Amino acid sequence: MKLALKELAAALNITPNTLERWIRQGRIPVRIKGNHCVFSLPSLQKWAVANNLAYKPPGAEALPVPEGQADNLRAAMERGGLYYNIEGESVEEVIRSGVNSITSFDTQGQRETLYESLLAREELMSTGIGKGVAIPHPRTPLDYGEIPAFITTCFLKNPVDYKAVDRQPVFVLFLLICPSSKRHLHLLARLSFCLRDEEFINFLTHTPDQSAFFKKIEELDHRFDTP
Amino acid sequence: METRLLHIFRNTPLGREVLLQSTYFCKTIGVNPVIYIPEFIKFLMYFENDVAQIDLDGSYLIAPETARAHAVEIVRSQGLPEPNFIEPKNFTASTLPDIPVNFDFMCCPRTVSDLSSKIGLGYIGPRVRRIVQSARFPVLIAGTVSKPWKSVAVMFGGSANAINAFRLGARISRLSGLPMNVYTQLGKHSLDYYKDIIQKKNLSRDMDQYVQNWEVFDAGEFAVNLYNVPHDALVVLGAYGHGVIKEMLFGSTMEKVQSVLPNNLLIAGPKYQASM
Amino acid sequence: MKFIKRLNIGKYPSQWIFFRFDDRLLLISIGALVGSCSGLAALALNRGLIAMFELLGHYRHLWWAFMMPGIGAALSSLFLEKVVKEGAGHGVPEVIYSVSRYGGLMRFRSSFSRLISSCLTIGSGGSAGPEAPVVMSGAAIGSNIAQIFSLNDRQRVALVGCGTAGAVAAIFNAPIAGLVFTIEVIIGEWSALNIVPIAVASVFGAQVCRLLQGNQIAFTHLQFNIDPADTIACLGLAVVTAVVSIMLTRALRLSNRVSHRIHLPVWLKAAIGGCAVGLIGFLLPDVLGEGYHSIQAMVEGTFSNGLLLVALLVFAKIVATSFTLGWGGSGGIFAPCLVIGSFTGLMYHRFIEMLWPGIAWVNEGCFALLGMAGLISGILQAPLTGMFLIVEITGGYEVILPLILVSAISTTLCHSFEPASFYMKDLVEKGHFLRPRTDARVLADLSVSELVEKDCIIVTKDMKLGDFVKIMQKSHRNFFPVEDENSGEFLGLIHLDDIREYLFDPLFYETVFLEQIMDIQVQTVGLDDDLSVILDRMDAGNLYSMPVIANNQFVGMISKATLLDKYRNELIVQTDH
Repeated sequence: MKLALKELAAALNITPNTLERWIRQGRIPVRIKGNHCVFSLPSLQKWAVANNLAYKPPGAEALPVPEGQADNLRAAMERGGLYYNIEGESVEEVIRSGVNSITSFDTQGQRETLYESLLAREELMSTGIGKGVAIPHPRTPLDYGEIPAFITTCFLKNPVDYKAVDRQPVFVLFLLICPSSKRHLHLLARLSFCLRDEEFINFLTHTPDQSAFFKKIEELDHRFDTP
Repeated sequence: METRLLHIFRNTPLGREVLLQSTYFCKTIGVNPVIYIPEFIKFLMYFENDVAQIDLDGSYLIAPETARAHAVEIVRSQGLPEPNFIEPKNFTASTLPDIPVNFDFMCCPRTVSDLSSKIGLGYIGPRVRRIVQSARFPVLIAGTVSKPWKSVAVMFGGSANAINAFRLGARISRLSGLPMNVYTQLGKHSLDYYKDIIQKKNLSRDMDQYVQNWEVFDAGEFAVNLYNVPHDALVVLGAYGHGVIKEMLFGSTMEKVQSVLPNNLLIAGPKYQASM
Repeated sequence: MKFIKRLNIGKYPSQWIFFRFDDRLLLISIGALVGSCSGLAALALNRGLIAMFELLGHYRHLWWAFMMPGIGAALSSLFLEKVVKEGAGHGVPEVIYSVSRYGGLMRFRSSFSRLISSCLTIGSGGSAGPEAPVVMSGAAIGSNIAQIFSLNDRQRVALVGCGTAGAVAAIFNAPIAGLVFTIEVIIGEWSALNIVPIAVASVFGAQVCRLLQGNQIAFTHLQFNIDPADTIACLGLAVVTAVVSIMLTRALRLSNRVSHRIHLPVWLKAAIGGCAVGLIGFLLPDVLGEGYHSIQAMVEGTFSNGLLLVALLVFAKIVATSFTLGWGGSGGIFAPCLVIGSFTGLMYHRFIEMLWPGIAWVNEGCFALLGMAGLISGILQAPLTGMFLIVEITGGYEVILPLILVSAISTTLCHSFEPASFYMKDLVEKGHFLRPRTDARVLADLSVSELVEKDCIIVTKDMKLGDFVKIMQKSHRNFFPVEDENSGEFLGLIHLDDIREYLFDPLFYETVFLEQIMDIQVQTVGLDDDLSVILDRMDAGNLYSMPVIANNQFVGMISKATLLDKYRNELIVQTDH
């Protein structure tokens, strides 16, 4: 096999300097030919295993972006969807209707587990964070398989008493469902950044339509990314 | 990471001219000069697969007490910050220091081991040749008198070394912002052959971007045609790795060029790897 | 050419498919070649010495004969200085240095220079041995053959070993000693990958020598019958040889220092040293040359001088050797060691015979032999080399028990007085003694540029703390280098630990500039610094990371955590064979 020095160094996760020195010292079964490193893949893999290194072929090597980095609010919200006129008179009922509107799940069973874990979280302490907003979420990430993190936004038909911190009735829910705690914190940080913005809250109270809503979110995402 | 040029300083008027050329080169393409003031008449350079002993001409050891101040003065006079100096850390024998080789360029006059009276066209000393043969960095061969250059002239003969030289020339042209000209002497092959090589080696973009003019000599002797190379150009060329006998039999571009052109020469040896 | 290309045979044998499959085959076959070549080099020196002795033998009785070693030493030093332009010295430390630091890269000229210079020194009567020169030549031959085949460092080191082994095996006709000396002294690493080609080279070297010179054992001797009393007496001999070894080591270094302090042309110094040797030799001719004739006489038990004269000879030989080697002559320490050792053994034998005349001691040749082993082991601090060499050059396996005792005790005693052996002492002092798989070796191999972490976010000195806090949120590092906006110069470092208390006070956000809170007296390292030095500085300052600065610009951080990670990796890679 033939690879450039830099590519091979990246595949072995070492610096090009180290790789070059190892080749020169004859510590690695690779030879330099012109501008390329020549090696036999099986023997290099065997060598890598014996030396506590890992060989990741350069094609597949698009290193998995560190969790939570690439995602932004708008993408998560688009995945979760935006729903209006969610029915219900109590916390249980609005959550039930909110969960039922989620489209990412295949089976009723998944919805059922989510509903139960959301309620369990509410019993612990209300997720109504004030100003009429609540962020229902499970306490620990649930195992939904390969479903990426999403936020489902539900505008309620009638504001509900949510036992929120400021005792105000809640008119909008952001259902925050994430496969990992890290992703959860990442999205929560962005969401909380938005909700600190009075103008945004004001914007929400007017129940914006889908395009205006996502445009606004994108704008806030941008503001979050550029300090 | 910073790019560095190694200069062996000799504290004589000739050495001053050579250092002025180094400094001009460094200033033009943004390289930091690193200066070694020899304390011993010889030193070793451990290359990748070769060790070269450089036996210097005695004039390198002249007036050691003023050498450092002179070197600093010359470099600063060209508007560069104070240069770094090498203090050899390792010694193979007590009077035989090892000089590191992890540089990006090195500057030499045409000869370092023989008396400077030999410096002239057509002669490149055995030690300088050895460095060119073994080093991974290109070697800047300075003239006897410093003279600024205004363009880059690349000798392109189609071989692997010539391709390296082309890349090196493009790099110099990019870093300095100076125009680049390419010179090719047609021999056995037609122009299309060379164009094909440029195409195959992904050099077309560099060709369009940096090269001002590709001058092709299709008649006459190479040595005569070299008159067309501007007097104020840095000549970039590749050197072969083959031995003396082959060189005597077939001649080589490098020998022709170095015996005709008094310009500053930047020679990429066989170990130089443009992409690495 | 086309035919060759079609066969997929490269320019270099190392690229042939056959050898690429397994580099052991490659090493063994090239090793055999190297062993034969260095064996030939050793033979050439041997023949040269014999010729010189015969040539100069006619003039030994003349009055100016004492000047001959001087002339020889001066010529040899002129040859080294002016013709081949190499430094003086016996060469073995140079081989070890190149093996440990540059993967055994050696100059081509080393493969013959020492042969000629030592031939001049020893042939004219200087007190030195031909072994170090052949070791140097053999090693250089191995290294240059490796360079022709463009082999990598590991293979090149093995071939340098092959050259050494072949040369030692040929000059002593002692293949095992060649192998053991190479592994114990030159390479310092016992691994099958090295031992096999070196053993093969050793066989080839010895075989070449036997083909051309016949299979002679260097010092034949009578049959010894060793009683337990003799074995006990050996303990005393071991102590005496250790003392003599230390004396020899110190004398050599002393004369080296003295000659360094005198400012004269090197050749003149060598001439003075040589003449001094000549004068000693005028009175005691046994100290001249490599001295194998007197060894032979002693081992056979036909050396007739009395106790005092033998004791005098021990000292005279030590002085002569230090004058020869310390003042610029060229040659090795091996043969003088053997001579001094056998004198010492003889001296000891005479002494105990005088003390306890009633006991039937074994023949004095046996003690001469044990003395040699004691001195070699003491000087080189290589007990195995001492044992095997003596067994092989005397063919006397029956003395192995006292031999092991003497070698072991002598090595141990010398080691406690002189922690580094004669060959290694300079290297250890300069920090060039890098045995494979040691801490020093791993640290020397790793360079700052391999360890530097570049994912730091660089900030400017005019930045407000408030802006900085936002940047800080994105970084996963605790250090932030501060740069000058215009020149890019490194100004200082901000460490989160230092400013944590201000971070949560919004009042500071708009009022404090980074310039005010950065640490400007931060210790930095350069790209060319040695890691061992950097680590010492980290330990001294209780630091866990330091900024790397090149040409006043920030390059990255170097931290102990990454260092450990890479260090471990390097150690695993280095020890995997």
